[in-house]
Amino acid sequence: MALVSLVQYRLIAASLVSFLAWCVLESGLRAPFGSYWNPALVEYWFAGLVWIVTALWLLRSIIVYVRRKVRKSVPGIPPAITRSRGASTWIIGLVVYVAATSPFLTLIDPNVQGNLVTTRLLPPLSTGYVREYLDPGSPGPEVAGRVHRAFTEANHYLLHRTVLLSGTPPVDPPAARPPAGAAIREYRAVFLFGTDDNARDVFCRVVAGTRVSLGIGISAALGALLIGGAVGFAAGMSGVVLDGVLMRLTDLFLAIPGLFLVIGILAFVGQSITTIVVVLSLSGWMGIARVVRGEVVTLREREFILAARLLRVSTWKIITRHLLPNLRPVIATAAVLQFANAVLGEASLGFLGLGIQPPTATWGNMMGEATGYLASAWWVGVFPGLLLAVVLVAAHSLGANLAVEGNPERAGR
Amino acid sequence: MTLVKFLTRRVLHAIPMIFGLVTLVFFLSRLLPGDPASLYVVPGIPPRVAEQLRSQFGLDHSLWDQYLAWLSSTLRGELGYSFAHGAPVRDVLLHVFPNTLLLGGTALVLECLLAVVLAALAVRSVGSWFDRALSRMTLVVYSLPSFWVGILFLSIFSFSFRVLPSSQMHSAGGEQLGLAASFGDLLKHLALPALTVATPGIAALAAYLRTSMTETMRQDYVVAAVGMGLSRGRVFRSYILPNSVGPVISVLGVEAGVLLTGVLVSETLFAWPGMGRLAVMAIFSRDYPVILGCTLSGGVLIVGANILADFLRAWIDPRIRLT
Repeated sequence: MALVSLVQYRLIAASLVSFLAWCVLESGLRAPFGSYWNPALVEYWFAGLVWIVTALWLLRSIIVYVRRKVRKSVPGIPPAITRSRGASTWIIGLVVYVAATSPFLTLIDPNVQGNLVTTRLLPPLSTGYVREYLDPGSPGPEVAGRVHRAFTEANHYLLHRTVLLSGTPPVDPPAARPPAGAAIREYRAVFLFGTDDNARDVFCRVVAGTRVSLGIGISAALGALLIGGAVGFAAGMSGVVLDGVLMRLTDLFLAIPGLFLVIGILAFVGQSITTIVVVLSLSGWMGIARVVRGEVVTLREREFILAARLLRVSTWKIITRHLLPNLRPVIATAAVLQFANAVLGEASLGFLGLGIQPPTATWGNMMGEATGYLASAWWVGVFPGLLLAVVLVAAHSLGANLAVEGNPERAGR
Repeated sequence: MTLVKFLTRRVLHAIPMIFGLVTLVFFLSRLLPGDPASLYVVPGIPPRVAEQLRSQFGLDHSLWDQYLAWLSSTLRGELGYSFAHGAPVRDVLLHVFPNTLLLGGTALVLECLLAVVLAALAVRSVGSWFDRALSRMTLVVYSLPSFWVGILFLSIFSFSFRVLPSSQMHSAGGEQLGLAASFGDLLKHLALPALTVATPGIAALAAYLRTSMTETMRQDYVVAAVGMGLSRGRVFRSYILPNSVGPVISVLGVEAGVLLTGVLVSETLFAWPGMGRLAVMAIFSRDYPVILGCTLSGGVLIVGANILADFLRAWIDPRIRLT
């Protein structure tokens, strides 16, 4: 699928048209419009926005680069000092981009089965066929005006597309023949990562899973940051008693084996995205709390805080101006590492069958499903794992780089 | 004498931890929606029977009384009754515990041995290609998710080359083998799960050991030993290695948690009949007493591992006992 779907210009164009037309209509430039609102559209609009922003950003980077090259030729002006965190930032950025624009990368619905007879468990890079048709049934309200018509048509394309895939030419499974009068497009495609047990394209599922897995990872890391930061900060700022109580509580949570705790809670509350995020946050805040507390305790004895206090700077201002900015490197490092832990935790849960339930794809549950037929199809489990491994390695090395940046004395070790 | 004192202090420190753990697990199980009895209270059941079921689980007492009852029974080692297994939870846990211990222990030994070998090879010549490659690889290997490593091992060793079995502890019909043959069979089944569990630990330990060793090698006594003409092997064995393992042992205590998570995943992947697999199966069958028992014993294991690490460290390096 991939080679075709990476340049889904129709999809991108339809999304952009839909979004722009919506903006025009909503801004009142044209006559008000009946309801063609559909929450599924928002996903496409968001992806379109990300796409535009990325394009503009790329353009800007090119301009900056060219300018710098040109300016370099002028003697006397030293080149700007740029700081690089290596490939890890780029890798994470790319994966986040994939997650944000995943509707453009998944031509077909990642949960819809293909032709089970011809498309099951095809190895990576095998070629197949895609049939795409527009359901003529509901063309939307009959309207006049260019903007209105563009909006309706784009939305119709985005929402009423049916895409089927097959390993060999007769694409449609007998159950799903296109309705009479449907506009059919049929073309060859490459299943970059192969297909799975249910004749679904693994590439599409990996891309769709990226969104879920990263979303959970980022939310859970933020949640852990919130809890851990609050506990650590409170412990560091307060007296012996509260400090002792909070730190014993942290030790207590640390003693519980993380995954056991998560599984224990999930067994009672059931699995949904929200509960998984909450549970992963609850099981991951201890490290952050310890680090933040340690940093606050050393920082508050430093001379510049003492100086600020002698100058009668208010406590609030000392915290916001002097303490928090100095905590930033530590918190950034801890947050990145916690992000890696949360992504791994979600994947582990999915792998064990306790995370997000299929058919929704996440990296973890894809791997879990794949273990059932690992002997005949290695690609279903290996590719999501590869992406997961790349993200984890990138996050860990980014964390290591951030740690060195925040504390240059450690750089030599 | 000081060692005994040190150890007593550590164990005394651990008691409130275990106590807190028991409390936490109890309130976890009571505060969250759904109680153990609701599993057996089906809609058509007469209210009298439902009431009897609830009182059988002790749910008709106040929360405080329930807590005290749970505390006293847990401290006596009674963790409730598993309906899925038809046996007390304690017996179920004791039945699978040796298998988990075997897997975890093998992985730990593997970790230590391989880490020492790798770190020794790296510090033979600091800055060599092997040293640099190891430094780069440790972060990568440490980051790899263990179940993915397991999937790779399975695809390569079990399904592509068919050299090692993919699941269970024994081959089918393994009971009829002789003692030596069945031991070999067990080792074969142990190889992949243990390696899967050990992989991240090998990387972490090798990295820590390497750092620790390079620091030790700068010490005066090592320089003196080399200057006196001792052989490289002798210097390494008698001076560098013993003085480098101290900090690494306390890392081992922390790594116990990672190891346990790895065991949980690896047991599920390789169908190893241990505690991790038991916990996962218990969730699918909603066997709450077993889930709580597993959480509790996992916590006790981690606390115990930390005490053991402290003990080893203090035993190796007497200076630590004074602090």
